[in-house]
Amino acid sequence: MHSMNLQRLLGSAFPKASGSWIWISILLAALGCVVVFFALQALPGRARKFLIAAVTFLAGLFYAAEFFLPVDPKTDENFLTFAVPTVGNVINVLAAFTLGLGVFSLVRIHGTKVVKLREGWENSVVLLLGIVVMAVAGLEFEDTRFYRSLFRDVLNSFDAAMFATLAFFIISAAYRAFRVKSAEATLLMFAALIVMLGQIPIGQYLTHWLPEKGSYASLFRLDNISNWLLITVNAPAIRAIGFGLGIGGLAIAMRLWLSLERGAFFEAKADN
Amino acid sequence: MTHASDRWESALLVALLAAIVLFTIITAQRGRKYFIRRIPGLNAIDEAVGRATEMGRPILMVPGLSGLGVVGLQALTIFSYIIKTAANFGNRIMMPVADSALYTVAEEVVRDSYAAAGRPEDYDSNSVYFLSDRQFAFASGVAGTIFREKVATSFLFGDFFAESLIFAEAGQSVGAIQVAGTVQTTQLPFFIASCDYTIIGDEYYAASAYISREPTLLGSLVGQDYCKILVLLVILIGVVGMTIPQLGKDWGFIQWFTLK
Repeated sequence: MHSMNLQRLLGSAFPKASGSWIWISILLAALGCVVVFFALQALPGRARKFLIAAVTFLAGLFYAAEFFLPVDPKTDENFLTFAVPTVGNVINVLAAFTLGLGVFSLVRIHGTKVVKLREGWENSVVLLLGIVVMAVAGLEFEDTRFYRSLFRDVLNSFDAAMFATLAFFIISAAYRAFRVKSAEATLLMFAALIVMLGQIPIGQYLTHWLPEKGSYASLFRLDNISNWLLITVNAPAIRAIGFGLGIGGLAIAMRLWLSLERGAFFEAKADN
Repeated sequence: MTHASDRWESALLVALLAAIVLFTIITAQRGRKYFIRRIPGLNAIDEAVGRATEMGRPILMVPGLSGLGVVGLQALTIFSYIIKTAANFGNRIMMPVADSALYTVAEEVVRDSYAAAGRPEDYDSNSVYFLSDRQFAFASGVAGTIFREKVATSFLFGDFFAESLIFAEAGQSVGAIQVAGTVQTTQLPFFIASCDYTIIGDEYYAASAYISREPTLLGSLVGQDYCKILVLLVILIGVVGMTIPQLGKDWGFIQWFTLK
């Protein structure tokens, strides 16, 4: 009920634009952004810090409140749920702005390289051409073979080629990891050997004559030892790391939400 | 849509854990001293920066595929400390980024870190750059940087997936000293195999407290440890409950934590 009222209120305050009003709305929004940007720049450091902390807190509070407030069992929604997609769209719009900055960074660095003919400038030309061709293909020729071919035949093939190099890197990393240099490395090597043998047919064949279960001899089957290592030794360790990461993530999220994180962001400027 | 009312027990537990962390932060801010154990991977940061100075080659910092979230911001906090140290020694740094939102913050953090080190004039706007948000395009770009620049030191902190081994092995092949940390447990074995030091699990989130010794962060870190003790106690009580036949899985405590 509350949800509907709020939704109606916001709907009447910001009616859906159509026709030329869409462009006027976009223009007004862009103008508003420029005004906010210059207003933020004009604010003194401490006031800016307070404003950023307040916006961060309110944004976090929105999601926390939406999660914790009781919901209507019929709709599984509370009075904030309807706004979740809108807030998500705001984040998407911000991300779109930053993508533009990212592309600008690429063009600036590689453009300078080409203009000053620095070492490897030919590669930068290819990159810049790639950006232009891909952008034009995506914007103007989306349903054509040209566009599909660029993505499927060129980009995906490059991705696959890069992914394939992993096979070689895994071998060199495994060689380094399994070199018997210490007691731990030896243990690691034997554990890895058993797990690998337990997963492949030839490894399972080595001890296939032992009973699968129901007898002590079954404990010596390679596939059983392999499963034991994975389920009884490996899984709890991974879960323990997961618990620590979850709690660590919660702690840092609390610090960011309440603007308690010091040092890296805003602080130096705010103290000016 | 997920809500607390779907499972009040979990929501209460999250609220309790958050309250513990907040309590220890407040006590730390009020002057209580906390001790934290030594973390070799984080001690190695200064050594790795020093090596880059001796070799006169750049330091590479990669936040992986992290976006503008908890993991990415934590990576930038660690990098901020590294940059301040590197700025004092006049090292060249490089930070390729895969997420455009993180890139904008990273640029700001690098600039601020140089200013905080008293060397704002050493900041090079080309040191932080956006490469690509496609996983393997980013991987090939970073690997290319490692080979071309023959980086002396490589710091890999953030979200890493299949590309982790490409970075770590590329660093190995140019003889870089490598320190890595990720929250992706599936990538930890690759980092352990290929890097000199690996930060495991929640050590990743402990890094900023360990490096800065700032009371708020130390308090938060100790709060995390109290939370882990609480979770451990829950597990122990659960194990004992399941072991005693009279209690078993119908025991209220076990039922409370059982997924339905």
